[in-house]
Amino acid sequence: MVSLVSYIADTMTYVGIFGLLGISLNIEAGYTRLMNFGKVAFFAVGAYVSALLTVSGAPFLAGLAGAMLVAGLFGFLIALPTLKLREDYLAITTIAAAEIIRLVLLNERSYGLGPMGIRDIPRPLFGVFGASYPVAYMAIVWACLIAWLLVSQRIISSPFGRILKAIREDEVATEALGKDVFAFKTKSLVLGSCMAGAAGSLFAHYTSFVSPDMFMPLLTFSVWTMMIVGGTANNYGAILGALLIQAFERSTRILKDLVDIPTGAQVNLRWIVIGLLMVIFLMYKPQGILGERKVRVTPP
Amino acid sequence: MLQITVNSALTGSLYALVSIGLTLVYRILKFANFSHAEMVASGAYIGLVFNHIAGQSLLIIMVGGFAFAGAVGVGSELLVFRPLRRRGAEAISLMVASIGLGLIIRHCIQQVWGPQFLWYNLKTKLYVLKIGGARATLTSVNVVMLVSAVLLVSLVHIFLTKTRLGKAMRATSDSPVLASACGIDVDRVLIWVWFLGAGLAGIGGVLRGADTRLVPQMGWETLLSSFAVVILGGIGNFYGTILAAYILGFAENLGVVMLQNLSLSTGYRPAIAFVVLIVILLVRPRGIMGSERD
Repeated sequence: MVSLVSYIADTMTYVGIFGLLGISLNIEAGYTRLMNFGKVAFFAVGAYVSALLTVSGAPFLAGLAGAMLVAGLFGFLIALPTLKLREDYLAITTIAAAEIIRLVLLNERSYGLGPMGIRDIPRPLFGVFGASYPVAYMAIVWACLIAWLLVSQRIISSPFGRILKAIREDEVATEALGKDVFAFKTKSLVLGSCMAGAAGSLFAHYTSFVSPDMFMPLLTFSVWTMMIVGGTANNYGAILGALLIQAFERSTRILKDLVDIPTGAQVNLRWIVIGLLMVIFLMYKPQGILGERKVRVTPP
Repeated sequence: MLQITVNSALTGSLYALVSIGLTLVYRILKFANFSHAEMVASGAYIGLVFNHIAGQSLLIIMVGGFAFAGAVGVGSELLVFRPLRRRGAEAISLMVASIGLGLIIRHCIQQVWGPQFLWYNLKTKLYVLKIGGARATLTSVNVVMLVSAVLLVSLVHIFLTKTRLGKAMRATSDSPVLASACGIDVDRVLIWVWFLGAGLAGIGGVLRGADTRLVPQMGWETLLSSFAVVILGGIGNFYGTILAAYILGFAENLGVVMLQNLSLSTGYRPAIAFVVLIVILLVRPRGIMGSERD
């Protein structure tokens, strides 16, 4: 019974972490049309910064703040050369940047980096909760998720959010209205990056171990699939997508235990289905399950 | 230094073959096709079958890789990209779909052949090139790479400038709407563009596989460099792309030597293409031979 509870808590923790990533991608890609194909890089930066800070003695909250700060700064650096150009250049640059980050984490030997990863990352409040820790951590993650959800809903319905959506619909027209499109896009990317950094931090403190091979490019596309399936430009959709994809991944693992499928086949099958989901949804239901909600306009 | 030049020519030949298809599709359909990486891998892997049936002739493996990768390219146009365009999908959705398609193809390859390294069964000889006091070694596969890149690029050049279909391709890549108004069947031309582009990438995959090894993510290993080549050359510019391929080949091989001199890990090699990419985007985003319009 306890193991079932912790299994569900574990699942929901991952749903929460991926929900955060989904919302962060939604702010960038769903609302502003910034095609970030390197989400995993910001996630990895957050995880590593938080891990390095707390391993050397800083408290969890300092790690979380540091993760958001550094990931946001990294987003800013990516924004500078790309956001004034064609929108697909951002996709190419971010996918490349994600590989570079992974190479640095793999090849750098100082600061405890390298292929062995970082071990014994402290788990916040572990002493307080003990055996019921998975449930407690799930609560922490979901508290963060709900806080971020409220903040981003607020941002999206603010004038700032409306300009992001205007950029998505027609960049030239928005520019013509006197809005600094580049500045708004940069802010959107930095916001999304901060959030991905926070998700990375929560991930690192949950697994208490990070290594470069946890941050493969495939993870980015897992998050993309969540957003496409759940609903582009809908934050609840991003969380729904995270829940569905997580449930799907776990069920393939359970299926593997019930039926005799080799591990390789199970992994391949999972990614083939995820690829199919992307293509099929883009073809038949591009707005996703939930889709963007209509904006109510009250006449003056 | 001679060895660096030879290696640069080899890397450049590979990038030239892989990038032609990427740049043509990018120009005509206006989207970055990430599934192009899997054309490289599918050509290389089907080569294993031809290697098994037809023996140790690299030429037969190359022809097989060309035909199969070309067919995969045509299939992706007919099954994914054309239906998406018909439904009014934007270029950006095509790009995202290309990622999904890439996941499908790569994991199908991994399911059939497994994730481990594989090698062709080939007899290779080692040659030593001596010019003055400098020496460089290269294998017979390397010789095939250099010769076939020059031959294929020349053939594509003749095809694009002398044949009806080639001229139609250039017209379409200049302006699909205008081409269609001139009575060119753009959909039919596109099929050939996919076949040619993906097929050349397949040959690139066979050559890379013969030179190093086969692994399902081998396409991804060249994709980043290929995008750097395409942007450096100017999207859709055939000659710019060829030139850019050799420039990047040289930059990477020189960069590796510099990494060693700086006592950094050569694992950073892929980062060189990234640095080149960022510099192009900052300094001359339309590429060395790109037109003003993009």
